[in-house]
Amino acid sequence: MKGLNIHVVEKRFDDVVVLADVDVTIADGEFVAIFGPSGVGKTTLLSMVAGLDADYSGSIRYDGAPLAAPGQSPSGLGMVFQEPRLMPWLTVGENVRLAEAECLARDRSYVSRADRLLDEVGLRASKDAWPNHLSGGMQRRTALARAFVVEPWLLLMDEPFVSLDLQAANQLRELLRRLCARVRPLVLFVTHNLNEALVLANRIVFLGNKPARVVLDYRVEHTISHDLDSPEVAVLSRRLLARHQELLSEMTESDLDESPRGKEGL
Amino acid sequence: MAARTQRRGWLWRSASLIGLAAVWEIAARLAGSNMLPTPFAVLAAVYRDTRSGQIPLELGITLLRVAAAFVVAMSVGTVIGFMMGRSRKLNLLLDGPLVLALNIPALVITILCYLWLGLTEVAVIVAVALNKIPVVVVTVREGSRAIDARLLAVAQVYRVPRTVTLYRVILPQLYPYLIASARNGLALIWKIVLVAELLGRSNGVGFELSVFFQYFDITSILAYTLAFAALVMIIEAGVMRPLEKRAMRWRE
Repeated sequence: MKGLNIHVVEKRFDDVVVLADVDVTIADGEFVAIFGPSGVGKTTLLSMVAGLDADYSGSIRYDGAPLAAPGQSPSGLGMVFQEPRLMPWLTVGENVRLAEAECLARDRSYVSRADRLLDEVGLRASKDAWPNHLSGGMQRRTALARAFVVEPWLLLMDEPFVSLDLQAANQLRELLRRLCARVRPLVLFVTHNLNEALVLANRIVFLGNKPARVVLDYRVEHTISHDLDSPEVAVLSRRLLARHQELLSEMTESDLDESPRGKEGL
Repeated sequence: MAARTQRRGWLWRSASLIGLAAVWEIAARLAGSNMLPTPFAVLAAVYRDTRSGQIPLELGITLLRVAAAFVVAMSVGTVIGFMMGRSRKLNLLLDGPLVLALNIPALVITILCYLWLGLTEVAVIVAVALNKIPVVVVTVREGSRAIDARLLAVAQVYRVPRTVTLYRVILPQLYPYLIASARNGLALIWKIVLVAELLGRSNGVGFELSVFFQYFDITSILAYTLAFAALVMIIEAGVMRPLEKRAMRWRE
């Protein structure tokens, strides 16, 4: 099977089943948003792909082979967390270069791309600054530069632009779009903002119900506006949310029999 | 503003030391006996024995012992403390012996080391290190428990090699604990080294003190103590504090 296949038979926290029967396959270079209400298990799913959580039944494979050795993270992975998670004792430049440590250990002649990335995210001048001297937006840019410095083939993002003001978030989305256009990673982007999912992703996987499963797998038209607040996005977002709710209630009614989830375009 | 506050800090520090010397001077004059020499007499003794080379030699010998015991205690204590903080099982296993070790008097450990290892240099360093290790363990264990798992996750997803993770992710989180431990350590270790020297060595500040004790030479006792305490304060101000400042500069 080509691409990244995430197959979770069951994921529990103690006695509670959080995810069950999730099976998604994603092709190289696809930008997939994972959408769902808070607490549905989106972050958990991402941690499992990142190799940070190995306590589940199922498998995560790439082109048919396990994505990573048990307890390890896949190589060529970039990840942006909900908080920037920068090392406060390392400068901006050192934080970005930290992600390159493995490349350096593997290949002594490796030339750092940190300066190029810092240029791209507009932080060249703050290279030697301490993270706690930066604004929230600049800290996120640093985290973005760190994720892209390894030119990842797989990029995991966990609501990376929450708690930013509108303008900063929009700038970062534009930056992300530019970096993705250059590096072309396979992206899993967790969000609970459907508008954001619509303007960034080319596919949206809706998670829902308890335990969570894929309720809807939606392909986004390429022609959609990049403006989060455009009427077009708002209308589509409303329709999708209504459809999501409808499918959820159908699933609850039919209890746990095979759910009417499917790939569809509205 | 900061410079002014700093200047004021120095002013207060100097004032307290001068005040202490004044109280001492008055007490010595009132007593008017050999049992309490004046600060001036003590300083004169420091000057005399420094010029003769006696104080620098004895101070140097003691300082070497302090340094060796310090390095051993900090390294062993850090490794054990770190592992106890990270592993619940190891912590359960070693917590009992740790509490026991914390409560054994320094004197007992020193005497036992001399009996088991002979009146040797190794015995001094082992004895002093053994006294300090449990204290380092307790502090570093706290630090290792406080390590931020979220930052470790960053190191894991970028497959940062172990040594780099240690130096760039783990140790910086332990620095405040290591520095606290080193500062207390220096103060504790030199005191124990003097006791060990008094009991079983034929040189060093501790041995000299035992000789002065036999001669009732209180002036020299105070002179050597003052000289060594001053040296420890210089190390604290000249090495420890700058190191701390460097390690914590990102907090400014």
